[in-house]
Amino acid sequence: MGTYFSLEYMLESLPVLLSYMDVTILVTVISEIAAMVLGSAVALMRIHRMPALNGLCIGYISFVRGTPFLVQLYLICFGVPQILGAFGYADIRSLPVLLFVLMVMTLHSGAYIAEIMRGSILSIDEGQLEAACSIGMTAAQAYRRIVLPQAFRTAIPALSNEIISTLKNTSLVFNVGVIDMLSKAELMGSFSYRNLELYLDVGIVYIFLCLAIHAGTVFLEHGRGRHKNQAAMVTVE
Amino acid sequence: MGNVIDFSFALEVFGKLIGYVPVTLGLALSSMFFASVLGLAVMFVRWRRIPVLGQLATFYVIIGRALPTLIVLYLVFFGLPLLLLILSGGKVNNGFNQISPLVFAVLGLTLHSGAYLAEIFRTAVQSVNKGQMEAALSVGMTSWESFRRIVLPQAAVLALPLMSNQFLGLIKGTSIAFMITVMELFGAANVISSLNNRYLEVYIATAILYWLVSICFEKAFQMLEAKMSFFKERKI
Amino acid sequence: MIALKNIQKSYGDNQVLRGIDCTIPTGSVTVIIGPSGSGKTTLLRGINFLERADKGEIILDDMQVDVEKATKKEIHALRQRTAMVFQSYNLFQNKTALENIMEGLVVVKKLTQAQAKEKAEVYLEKVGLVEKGSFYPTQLSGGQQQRIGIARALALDPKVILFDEPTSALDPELVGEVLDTMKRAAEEVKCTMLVVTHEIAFARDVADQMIFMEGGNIVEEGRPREMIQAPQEERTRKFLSRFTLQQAGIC
Ligand SMILES: Nc1ncnc2c1ncn2[C@@H]1O[C@H](COP(=O)(O)OP(=O)(O)O)[C@@H](O)[C@H]1O
Ligand SMILES: [Mg+2]
Repeated sequence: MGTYFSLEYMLESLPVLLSYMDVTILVTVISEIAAMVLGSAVALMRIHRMPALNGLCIGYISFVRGTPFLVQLYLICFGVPQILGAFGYADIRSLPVLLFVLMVMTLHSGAYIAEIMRGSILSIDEGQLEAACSIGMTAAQAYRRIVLPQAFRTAIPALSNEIISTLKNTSLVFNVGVIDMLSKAELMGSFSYRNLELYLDVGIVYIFLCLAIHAGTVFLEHGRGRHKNQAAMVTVE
Repeated sequence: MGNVIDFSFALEVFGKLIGYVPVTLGLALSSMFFASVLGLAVMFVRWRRIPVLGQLATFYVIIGRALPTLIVLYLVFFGLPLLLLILSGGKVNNGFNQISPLVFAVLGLTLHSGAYLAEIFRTAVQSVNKGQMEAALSVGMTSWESFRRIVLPQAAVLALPLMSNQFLGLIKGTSIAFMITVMELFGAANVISSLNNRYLEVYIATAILYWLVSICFEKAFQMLEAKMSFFKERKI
Repeated sequence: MIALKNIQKSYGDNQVLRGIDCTIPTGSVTVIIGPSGSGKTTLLRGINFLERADKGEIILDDMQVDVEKATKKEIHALRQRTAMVFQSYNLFQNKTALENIMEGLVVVKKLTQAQAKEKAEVYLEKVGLVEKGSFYPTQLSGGQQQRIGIARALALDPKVILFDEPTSALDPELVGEVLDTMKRAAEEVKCTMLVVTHEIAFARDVADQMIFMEGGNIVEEGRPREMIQAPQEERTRKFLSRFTLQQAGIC
């Protein structure tokens, strides 16, 4: 069996691959934070039906949801340099690819988050906004202090799923030249011909990261469900 | 400046790429079919709490949903030949080169979607009111009859929105199959773009094709949902 | 005839049924009353094995089932001979009113579609809902749904129908139509009925036997009129007093 599958090699390679995990986490965290901001903004534009912008947002969301992440990734990472090249930027290859990747991931995740946030903002009772305005808050204050925090809370499970999906999308970015676990695994595999062991390692890392995000979500939901508990107590009385 | 986008080239590419849409759809439809069967079986095993098998099913659902599609495809692509090799004691050695990568792709996508569908089905079955099963049993049906005739049809309708979402995801997910050398829409796009050293036109055409397909199916599912929800809340 | 012998059931430390014995003769109506939590629902669900009791015996005509040792086959046979009407109706949501009645006839009684339809229409008529046959449950009022539930049970020709508070989920103005339907089932179909209800007037006018349960025990049983007018046990008197007061107020 050892000739076909080497557990030893698998264990040996794990630390090597793990040392590339930081790229994966970094890309996920940065693009996800940016996507939350973008997504919330888009959600608000849609809820308030801002002229022109609303239509633009609908098109943007539909496009992102209707096309594969890979196509979006290639479109930006190979298409944008072609545009820049046509305008005379000779040095396109020197632009850091990571920048493009972060942009794609933000735009991609932002569209999904916009839909999530729109749903959860709409689920917040309108009375909350009215009450906030009635004590003299501006609309912006009311959103930032009252509505959005509540909306984020209801959206936690869906947002967590979205973060996990972004994390999994990072497994595709080595295609455009980002050096991460998968590109390292591919490189190592081309010497050792033990691809299965290497991809099992990468798989284990992804499983671990996913479960960690999931555990974090559960913790967040239980640790911070204060409002709901209090409401329940009131009704019992 | 004039050569940012070459429209005639774009049009030509679009025509070429349309020919690969059936491959993508075939991949998505067949994977969806097998994944639904797998998902149903896994859901049923967990629902009946069959010992060992039930735990294995739960393990599969957790792992299957935690792995990126690409990794699943890679594990199948590199793992399956090895597994057969080991199981056959080294006899089945060659011949894997003759197996179409399509087979690996369908298998991988099935395993991946199956885990999601199993969970979707489980949630749907759980959200069917418990009284439905009890009423069926009280009428004298066996638990299998009750499940098949009363619970399952209602669960299917509840699961429909999530299933259609899963299918739309699967259509897009097929693009990953190019990584194990499947010539579907995205794979073809890659070949054409690198042959011509033009990317923008090709990927825009590709995106539009995926977009159109997605929109068509989305609309179709919406119509189906409206048709199927006849027994859900529609008070007169 | 259905008879229960020493039915016992506990949930953990909570002993819900403490040895229930009773006999319901064929064609008669027995009403069970008792405060909430006294085990009435558990008893009915135990008879239908929706919940398995811990101990006891259920005798249904020539069938005798030991609750503890009942096999899947016995449970199924028992369920085929009994029917249940639920507090929350539990009509099959994916079937029309007519199909709800047909379902058991086709699947369990093995009638053909045509036979089942014919029979189902007869029962639809009996509960006065012929024109609602093609409606889905969500399109019917609570009272109509419960009448379909009763038709569904009656159509199976069961040895006994178990009713668990069939009117308590209904708006007050809809209670009457369901009670009327039950009354007709008792008088015209001569169906054996075991009814958990708090409709004392129904018990008085329709039932042959009344049972008062409390804390998992049968405290008292007897003829409804006598029990309502002169309960033997203090606890029965106390429980009944609020109903008689209510009725006194109304009359
Ligand atoms: N599934 C269950 N698990 C634990 N306890 C239960 C369950 N079902 C009923 N009980 C308990 O059994 C007792 C009797 O309940 P029930 O039969 O519903 O009473 P009734 O129908 O007379 O109101 C109650 O104390 C209830 O809390
Ligand atoms: Mg009860």
